[in-house]
Amino acid sequence: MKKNLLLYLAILIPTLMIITTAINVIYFNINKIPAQNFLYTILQNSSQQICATEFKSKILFPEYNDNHPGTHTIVDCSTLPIYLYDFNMGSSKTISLSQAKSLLGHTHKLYPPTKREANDLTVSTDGYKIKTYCQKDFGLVWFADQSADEICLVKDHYQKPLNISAPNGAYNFIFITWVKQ
Amino acid sequence: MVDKPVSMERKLFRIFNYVGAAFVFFGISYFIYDNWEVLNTFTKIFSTLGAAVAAYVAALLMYFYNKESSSSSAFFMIAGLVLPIGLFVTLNVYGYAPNFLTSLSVFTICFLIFLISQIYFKRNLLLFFSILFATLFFVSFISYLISKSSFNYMYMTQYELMGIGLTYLLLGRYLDIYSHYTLTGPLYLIGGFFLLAASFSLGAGFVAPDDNAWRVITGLLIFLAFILSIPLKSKSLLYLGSIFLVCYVIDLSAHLENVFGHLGWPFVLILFGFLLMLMGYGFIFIYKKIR
Repeated sequence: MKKNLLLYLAILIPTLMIITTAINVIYFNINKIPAQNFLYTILQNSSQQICATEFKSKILFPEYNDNHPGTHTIVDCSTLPIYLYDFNMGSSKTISLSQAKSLLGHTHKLYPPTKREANDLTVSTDGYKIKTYCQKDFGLVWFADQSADEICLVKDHYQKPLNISAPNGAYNFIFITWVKQ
Repeated sequence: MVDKPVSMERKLFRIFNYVGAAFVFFGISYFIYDNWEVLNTFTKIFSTLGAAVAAYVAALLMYFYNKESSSSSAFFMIAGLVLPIGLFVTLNVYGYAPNFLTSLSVFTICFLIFLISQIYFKRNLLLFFSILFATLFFVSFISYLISKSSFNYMYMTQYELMGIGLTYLLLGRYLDIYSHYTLTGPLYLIGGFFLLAASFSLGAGFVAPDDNAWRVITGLLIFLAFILSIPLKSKSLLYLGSIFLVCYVIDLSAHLENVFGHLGWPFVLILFGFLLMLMGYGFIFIYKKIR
């Protein structure tokens, strides 16, 4: 019995780890929803990266206009769609520029582009962020089960992949701002 | 299940068998890798899963023909190496790309096959594959569970390594008691390395944030490695303890500088020198006890 005790312990340790992990996953498998929705756009090709800053400024800063210094004519940024991700529906829909501006309301106190760094628009009022990957330590694995195009809702250790498809790569996903629901 | 003494000729025969089996495995793997696009479904499955099944059946026939022969071990080895590839290829052909669930399924099947084979045939090679596939089953099960979670579990790799390391040490001791020495040494070596490396990485701060609790635990584990090397008669634990003690002291030296200021580095060098001398005496003393 004493000799077999070592074998039983050797089997018990990994079994207990599996059971503990399973209980943690099942018990803490909750669905958190932020208090706000968010606006984003998906660039259609990598050359439109130059449009990202200009596009965000157009939506966020009312005094911004198409004659703003620095507007370029090389790439056409006017065709970029604006998407509203609705957490209650769990999906996105296309909206117009005027609708986006009306949703913005007084969510944030905005500063002119020269003081853009004063606006931390990437974090919602209840502490959520949107990232272009879901980072997890899966343990000792040799492949990833997740596409590089996954957009993730993150808060502390909580992560949830969102129902957003970025066909040309997650780096073409441009987060704009959080808006009221 | 006691290891019998083996003559030099049989040892050489086994070495040639195992090396030959390894070449067969690499040949099959390279054939599949190089010709994946041009092979049809039947050929893909036949050359991988079919080869594994054929090798297993050949091993069974050789075993029943001559239970003392090592020839069956070579074919069991081919089966063990090729079977997971064959299962992955078969699942992939039928639309199941490699992911956490397919890995779990493949390693569960491999583990069950080799565990049942080991219970019935009692071969060191089958025991090795049973332990290997049990480890892969454990790793893939944990990964599958985590993939379903909403939370990011930090440092899961380190905790898995510690669990595996502790299990290997216990298994090594169990086999040692039953005079089954072939796998005891490797289990002590790999188990000790996993346990110490995972604990050290949690405490040292280059993977995880500096954690003094884990630093203390690592020190205790290193001390235990030295102590246990005597009753377990394991040189692996003695060597691992020495290597990790050096790493541990180097890690601590960075913090001594914070305590002693500009005197930190000279103090560290002096302390390190005396510690190395002490280690040398301790190493020889314990080594003689093991022999």
